This record gives sequence, structure tokens and C-alpha cells, in this order.
Amino acid sequence: MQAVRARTALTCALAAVVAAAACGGPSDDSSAGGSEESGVVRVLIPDGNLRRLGEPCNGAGAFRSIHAEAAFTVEDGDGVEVARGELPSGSAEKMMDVSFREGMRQPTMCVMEVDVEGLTSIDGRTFVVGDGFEAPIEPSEDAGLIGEVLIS
Amino acid sequence: MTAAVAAVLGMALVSGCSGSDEPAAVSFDLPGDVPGDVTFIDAPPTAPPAPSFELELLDGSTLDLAEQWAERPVVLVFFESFCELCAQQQAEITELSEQYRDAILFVGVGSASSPEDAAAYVREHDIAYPVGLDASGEVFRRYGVDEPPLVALIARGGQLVRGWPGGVEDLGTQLTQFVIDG
Repeated sequence: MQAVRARTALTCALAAVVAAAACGGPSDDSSAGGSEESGVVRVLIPDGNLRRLGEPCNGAGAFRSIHAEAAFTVEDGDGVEVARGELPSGSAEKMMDVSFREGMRQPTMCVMEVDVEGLTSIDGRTFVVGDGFEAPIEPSEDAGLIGEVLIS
Repeated sequence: MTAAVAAVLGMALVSGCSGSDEPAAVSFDLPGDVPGDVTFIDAPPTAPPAPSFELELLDGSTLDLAEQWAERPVVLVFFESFCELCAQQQAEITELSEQYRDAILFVGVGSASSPEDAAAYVREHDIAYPVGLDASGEVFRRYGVDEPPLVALIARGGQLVRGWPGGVEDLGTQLTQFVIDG
């Protein structure tokens, strides 16, 4: 009887493994085709919200629709979508060259470093996000970035 | 035996594949009677009235905030499921909501989060206090929430005594300073 129970348990465990494997579709397999190239776009959200430098952030006020997990697209000059994805959480960066006390909340912009899969060129590309925000992707002086977007 | 294995495999496939995205039901605890040994601190006379509102909770019920703060202080916790800073501060808020369970009502208010994501946040952070969504953003606007987290403290009687954009450090001390005798 114990042997039967053990065999049944083993079979159920195998079934669970099979089920788990079946659930992982091709979309989970990064090697299953599609472009693996990507470029990092730095997205600047000049909301002026009071934050501590370096703390996690999302767009504030009029920019509240620009937040972590919000969908974005990249379009070419004809308005055709060439890439899409979801925004990551941002980080608060200094907005103006004024010295504030250490650790004090100050006007900041929220900056997101967005890894855009399939983006290898920024020529004529537009970044579209949130409630109708769109801005051209400009070249960046930072070698680690493919471009920079100032939301306005 | 074969039939049993097939059934197990079938159930595992169904529950494993389609069930993972289904939001589990959330339910919330409303406070009981205010304990007799609790003393609340009156709001200063200059404190403005808190904007009253009704909130549709994630469990489908509706909470009338003015009814609540007629009985006890209320802590409004403005959050979003995707807000990293909210998540970082949540443990202390959850702990205080348990500590003051019947004396102070904590209420979570989200806006841009989906009901499913908000429910997932509630489960992830073991939140038992009522949580609802202000989909129109009206409550956010009335409380001046530009970006969560924001914690607003309302004294018994409905006066807005404090608001902390960006969240609050040591909320427990703030509660005993402004709304409840320690």
C-alpha cells in the first residue's frame, strides 16, 4: 500500500512538472527568435516634484500617467510602431542647480532608464507614453545610452 | 490509476496555466468598537476639515470615511501598486494598523493601479485594512496627491491634522503626537 502511495505521489509530482513545463510558452524562451538587440533610452520627466535625490519615483502631477509598468511605444517618422515595452521605476535627480541641505526634499525630475528591446537606431524615432505624451528621442552624450527623451 | 494521473495532470494544467492571473479575493477588517481605555487628542482649532468621500473597496463594498472619522482617527495611505517607495514603507504601516486595529482606521487609496494589481499588492504586504481605488483621481486631487506615497492624518471629528507627501518616517510617533494618547 505504501509503495502504491509513493508511486502515486511520484506520478503526481511528474504531472506537476509536466504542467509547469507546458505553462512556459515560447514567449518565456528568450532564445526563441526575435531581436535580442536593445538600446537604453533615458527618459526625463521634469515634474519638479519634491523628493529626496535618488529615491524611487514615478511621474507626478500632470505626468502621473508616466509610471512604472505603464506601456510605451517607439514610432518611426511615419508613425509606425517599431518597439514597445513597459517603463521601469525611476530615480529622482536634481532639477535645478541650487544647493539644498543634505537629505532635504527638493524639486526634482524623475528619470527612467528604459531598456527598449529592438531599438538599434534613434533616427526619426519618437517615444510615446502615458496620456498622449510623445517626444523625439535625441542623441545622448552618455555612451551607455542610445538616446534621451525629455517629456514635455 | 491512469485516470487519476490524467485527472491530476489536467487539473494542474488548468489551474497552473489559467489560474495564475486570476486575482484572489481580498477581504478587509473594519474596526470594532473603540476600546474604552483609549483617549484621542483633539485637533487644533486651526486644522481644516478633511475632504469627505466614499471609497469603493476592492472587495466591492463602499466605505464612508466621514462615518469612520466621526468615531476614530483615520490614516489615509495613498499608494499605487507600482510605487516602489510605497512598498518600501508599507511594512511599518501594516504593523501600526494591526497595533491600533480598533482605535485608528487605516485606509489605502490607490488610483491608477488596476484592481488586480492593487489586490496583489494587498496580498503581498499582508494588508488587512480597507483598500480601494479612486479611479477618477478625484480624491487624489482633493488631498493634493501629486505622487504616492502620501499619508494623511485625520483626527477624530474629521480635521486634517497632517499630510506627508513622499511618506512619513516614524508614523507611530506621529500618531501619539497628534491623534491618540500614548
